[in-house]
Parts: sequence; structure tokens; C-alpha cells
Amino acid sequence: MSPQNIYLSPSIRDWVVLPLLLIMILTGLLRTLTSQLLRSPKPLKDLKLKTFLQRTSRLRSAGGFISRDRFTRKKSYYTQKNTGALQKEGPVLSSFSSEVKPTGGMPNPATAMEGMMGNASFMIQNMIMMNAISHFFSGYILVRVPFQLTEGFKPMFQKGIDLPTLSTSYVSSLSWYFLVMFGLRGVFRLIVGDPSPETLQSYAIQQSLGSGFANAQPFKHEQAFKSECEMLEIAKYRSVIEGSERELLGDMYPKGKRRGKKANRKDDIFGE
Amino acid sequence: MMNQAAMDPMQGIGGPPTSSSSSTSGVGRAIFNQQISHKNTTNLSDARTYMGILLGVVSGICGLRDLRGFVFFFGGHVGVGAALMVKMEFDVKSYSAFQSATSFLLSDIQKCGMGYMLFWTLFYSLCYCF
Repeated sequence: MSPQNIYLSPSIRDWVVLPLLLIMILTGLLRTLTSQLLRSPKPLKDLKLKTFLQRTSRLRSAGGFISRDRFTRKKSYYTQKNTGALQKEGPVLSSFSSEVKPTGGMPNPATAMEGMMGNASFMIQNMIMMNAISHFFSGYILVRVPFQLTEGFKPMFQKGIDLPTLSTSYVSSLSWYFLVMFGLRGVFRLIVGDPSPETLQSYAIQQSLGSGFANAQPFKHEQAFKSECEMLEIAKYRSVIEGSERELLGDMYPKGKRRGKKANRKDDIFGE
Repeated sequence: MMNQAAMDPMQGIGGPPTSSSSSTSGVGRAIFNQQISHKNTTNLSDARTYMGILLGVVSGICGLRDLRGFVFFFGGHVGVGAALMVKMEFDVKSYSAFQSATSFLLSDIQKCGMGYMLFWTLFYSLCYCF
């Protein structure tokens, strides 16, 4: 088939192609910003307990950066019998026990529905846009894709155009809609930009609390506190700082002249 | 980080990414900064997206068709990846989550490809059809 060169009316470009692109950009931005504004806050109680547990896990992981004495005192504060902060009778759990309502282990359906509602609204919006565009902008060619498609794509990409000899590279409004929908995903990120640090923090915290059905399960704080207390009790202190000057200096590390009780402390810089 | 998860299931419960957290249990020496890692990933993705759009505009204006357009995109995408690798001094593992140069060069190709096709079609139509 000889290549076809069809010139389209500039009115199609001015009133259909570019406005459709603009409409889809604006609806995408609207959807993104609306979802951010309507995001419901997660329960504060679970958040406070989880961030408290982060402090104890940080003590176990990075305790080598503080002195042995401080590590021991912090550990004692958390794990001391009956009065430790991680104990069941401790100040943290006892103050939250009155606030935390007993759910009986039942999942919270409201939080589980949030994720589903978000996806459903996106799908509904897409379906409405698709039907509206194919209804209002049907019967004519919109753009020409710069590559050849097979004849099998003709009914889908040239919907409303009954021209058997027309090249498949000329497509209708529905094809342009799909092209724009898939192509704008990366563009939205450039337009919206990076979320602010507060938004990133809220995303991370919400992710830690789970999303969808995972978020529906209640946080078993007593069990988490008990296991954290046991792990902190068996945690050993491993200093990262002690010996760091020896490691840095290597062979250049000054050795002590004399050892023992008669050693003159003034001769040794590091008291060795 | 996998060894750390096996040792400590409570590690990384999930907190604000603004704090630079150590991913070890005090035994190893590796320090992993979540905030900087996220920023690196974002910058790499943004750079590729920008170049995908620009390549689409250029190929549309130049009138590239069929296979030449796809080859142009593929070559441009790999070229952008190579330039980013030069910026990273070819140390892909330290600056990104990718383990090999090939996976780094071919990452994000689908997302950038869709953006390329959109602007390729748009500018080709604007220049040669209207």
C-alpha cells in the first residue's frame, strides 16, 4: 500500500487534540491533589506505641555509639521488672490501656475500605472519561501515530471511522485518550514534584501501619512490647567507639613506656 | 539488610525517612541513608523522564517513523543511562538500588517509552498532519 499523506483540519488540533491533552492533565492533577487532601488520619494511639518501640529497637541496633554506662541505664529504664517502660505494668502501657478500646481482635472495616474506594474512584473516572470522549469526539481522525499498526488494531483504533482503505496509523479519539493516559504518568510526577518531607513522613508512617486489609488488623501492643522487652534484656553491649583511635592510628599509635602501679602517668598520653 | 531482618524482626518498624538510620545491628560498618537513597532514585527517574519527553519531541519534529523512531529512543535512553553512570563514576551499587550496569541502563524503559510515544505522536502530528 502506498504511504498515505492526509492533512487534517487545524480545527481538530485547536479544539480537540490539545484541549483533550489539557483536560487529562488537569483531571490527573485534580485526582492526585484530592486524594492527598482526603487522606484520613491514622489512629494516633498505635502510632505513638510504634514510634516508642522504634526507640528501643534503635537502642539495640545503635547502642554501641554510646557509653556502656548509658546503655546499661537506658536498658534498665526499659526492662526493669514491674516498673520498666516496656513492662505491662510500666508507665507507657498503663497510660494507654485506658485509651485503647478493646476491639476483641476484630478488623476495622473502615480502614480496609479506604484503599478500595481510591481504586474504585479511579476506575469510575476512567470509564466516564472514555465513554464521554468516544461519544463527543467520534467520527473523525485525530492524530497520526508515526508507526504502522497491523490491520487487527483497526476496529479498536479507528472506532467510528468506516474507511477500509485508511491506513491504520491514523487513529481516532479513543486511541489518543489511551496514548495520553499512559504517557502522562511520568509527566505527572514531574509536574507534582517531590512531596514535602512532612508528606513523605506521613506516607512512611501510614505504610508502617499497613494499608488496605493489612491496616484493618489491630496492633497487638502488649505482645509487641513483651517481645521487645525480651530482646532488649538479652541484648549485649558492643562498643563501636572504644579502640577507634587505635584503629585509626594503627602502627602510629603510641605505646605506653611502663606498665604497672609504678608507671608515671604523665608519660603516657592515653594512660596506657 | 536481609541479615539484619533475620536477626531482628522488630527492626525498621517504619518511621520517618528523614532520620538517617543505621541498617546494621552494630556489628557491620555499612550505613544506609534512606533519605539520600530516595532522593537519588527520584533524581534518576526524573532525568530519564525529561530525556524521554525531549527525545519524543525531537523525533516528532524530525519526522522519524517506524523502526527509526524506536531505535532513536532506545539509543537515547541508553545514552542517558550511560551519562548518569559516568556521573556516578560507574559505581552503580553505591548510588542506586541496582546491582548491575545492564539493569540500571534498562530500568524505567517502559515508563519513559510511553512518555516518548505520546510526545513523538503529538509533535509528528502537529508538524506533518495539520
